[in-house]
Amino acid sequence: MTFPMFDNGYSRKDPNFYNMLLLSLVAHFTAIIIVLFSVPSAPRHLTFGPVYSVSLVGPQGIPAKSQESSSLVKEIEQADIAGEAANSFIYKKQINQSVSVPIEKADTDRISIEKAINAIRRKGLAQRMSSNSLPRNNSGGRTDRMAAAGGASISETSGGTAAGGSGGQASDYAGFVSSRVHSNWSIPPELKPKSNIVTVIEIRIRRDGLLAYAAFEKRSGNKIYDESAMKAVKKSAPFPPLPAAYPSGIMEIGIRFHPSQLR
Amino acid sequence: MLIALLISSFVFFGGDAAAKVYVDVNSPNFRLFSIAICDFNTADAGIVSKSGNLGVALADEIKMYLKLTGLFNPLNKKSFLDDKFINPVIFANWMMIGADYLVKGTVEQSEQEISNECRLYDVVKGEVLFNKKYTAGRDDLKALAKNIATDILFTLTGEEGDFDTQIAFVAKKGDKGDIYTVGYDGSDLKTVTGHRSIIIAPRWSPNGQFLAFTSFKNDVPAIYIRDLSSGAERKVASFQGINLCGYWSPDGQKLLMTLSKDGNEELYVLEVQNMRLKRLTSNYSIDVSPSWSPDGKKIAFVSNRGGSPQIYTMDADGGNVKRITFEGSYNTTPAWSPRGGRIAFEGLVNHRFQVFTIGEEGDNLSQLTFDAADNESPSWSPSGRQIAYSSRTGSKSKICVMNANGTNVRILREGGGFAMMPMWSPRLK
Repeated sequence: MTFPMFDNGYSRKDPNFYNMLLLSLVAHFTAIIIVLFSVPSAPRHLTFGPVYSVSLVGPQGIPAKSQESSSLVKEIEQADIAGEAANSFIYKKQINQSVSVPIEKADTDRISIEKAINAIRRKGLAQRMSSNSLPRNNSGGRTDRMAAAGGASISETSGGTAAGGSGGQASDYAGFVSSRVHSNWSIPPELKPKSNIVTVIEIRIRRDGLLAYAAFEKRSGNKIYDESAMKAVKKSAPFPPLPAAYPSGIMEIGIRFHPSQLR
Repeated sequence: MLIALLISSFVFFGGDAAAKVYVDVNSPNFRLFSIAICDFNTADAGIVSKSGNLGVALADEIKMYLKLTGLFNPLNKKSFLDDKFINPVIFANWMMIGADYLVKGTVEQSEQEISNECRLYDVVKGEVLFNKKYTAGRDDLKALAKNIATDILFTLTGEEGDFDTQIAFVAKKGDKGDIYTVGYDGSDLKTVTGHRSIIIAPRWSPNGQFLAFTSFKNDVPAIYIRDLSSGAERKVASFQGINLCGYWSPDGQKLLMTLSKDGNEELYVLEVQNMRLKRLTSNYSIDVSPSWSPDGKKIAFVSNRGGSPQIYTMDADGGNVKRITFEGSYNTTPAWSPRGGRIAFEGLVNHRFQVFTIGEEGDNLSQLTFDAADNESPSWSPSGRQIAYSSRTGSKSKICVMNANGTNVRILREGGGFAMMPMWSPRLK
């Protein structure tokens, strides 16, 4: 029983009805695809394909402590140089507001900036040539041991949702966070846990790099150990601003603390 | 099918790319707790007379005690950006010099007592961990400092520390020896016995009231128990042959010993109250140096039943014997950690004795000393964080203390003779 207004003359038994329906669906889908592809000002997180849009973190964002910049830091900086010059200017301004750098360090910073930039240029070029073959962001977990990060490694639980460049940047950024946390993580040798325990701390970093939240996701049960991990996180903040292409205003990172490399 | 395609494409392209990322951080750096201890403020104390540097002295004493634990690195006060007067605390200035914790406070000395207010700050979190008032006798600055150091250690580690302990040891001049005690910080040397004879193996009772040992004061070896408060001595074993004192049981009711009254050296346990003696081992080889596990259920000892002296464990009733050391040709003097889990002993390496620890199941052997000396007779501190031992080179022997991982070695007692067989007391209050 149909309402008269839906009765447009086509009978359900008429094969034309299904043909028309199919045609209509195909036409609509094609139109949507075209719109998605052709509108350049679409929001960033709707962009797909290997667009490597990156931000300049700026060595000022890196504390004086990590001047002997590890290759991980360089990797992050390397991503920066690919970013637009216009953007970099803005970000430098932001950094100056949020991160305090001792004035006397400015000169050495400048030298290290130039060194870093040169290194990045060279490395960036090489990477761009080979970027297509880099296995980034496989679905499922990726465990990437970064030797230079001094015992820090990343595994991303992307669940098939991390897309292209921003996902890679997120894990690079997280890698930087973990290496900085590692450099600030210490415990008196006598108090090192004998067994293999793990503490997980969830942190949320604001777009400007400030630590918005840090709490235990899982405690190891060893109070001294847990405390040392939390201290490392607190000491490491504030962080550099999030990568510009990062789609969300807050980045959530779970940091797992292991007493030894073997686990 | 098309609808499914549409939905999946929406999920793929429009989904939130901000997935939570997990990172792993392995192997913490090994660094002691860095703590800044300000000189205590004495400025507002009008009654303070000749105590101009009381605040400095108190800070130095606390520093000294914290250093002894092997867990703290008290920062040099020349590096401080802020002085003791700046209130409220500017945490950034302390973080800048690498301090994790900060101690500040005031101290006053009256005719009768020293009173002190002390605050411990967590510099990184920017919070006060404790704010306490202490008092002590007018000249008892050391006790005051010890109390503060104990509270700092307890707040940061949940452990009581070894501040209120002594180490007993045998000091020999020629053939004649006696037992002495010395404080945890190396001060307060006292003589305990006046036997002037061969005297070995001092063993504290778990409550710190008694000291058992073997003495040759009547020319033959016998085991004595001395009441440390009254000085009264009781002979508890003087059998034919060797009478060698072993450890007290954790409940203080029993004393292990090595006797050779039945032929060769065997292990026995004596119930101290009713003097009942029970034999634990029975074989043709030598069994010596028994030490209880902290739960009192097991005993570690040395036996040469396998051909060479090695460390074994057995149940408290003598059953279930198990060899735990297999490395080296000569391993002896086991001491069970009060924390459980590990046994310290001395082992022969390149013709020198060195201190080792090993898991109680024979796992994780770890050599702690490496220097060109005979390092012997390990004894655990009550916290299980430190080990005292004797270090012998030529005709000299000194008492040393190290962390349980072999670091932070300090000489507790040295010079003028032969100090050996250190035995760490329980906590004495």
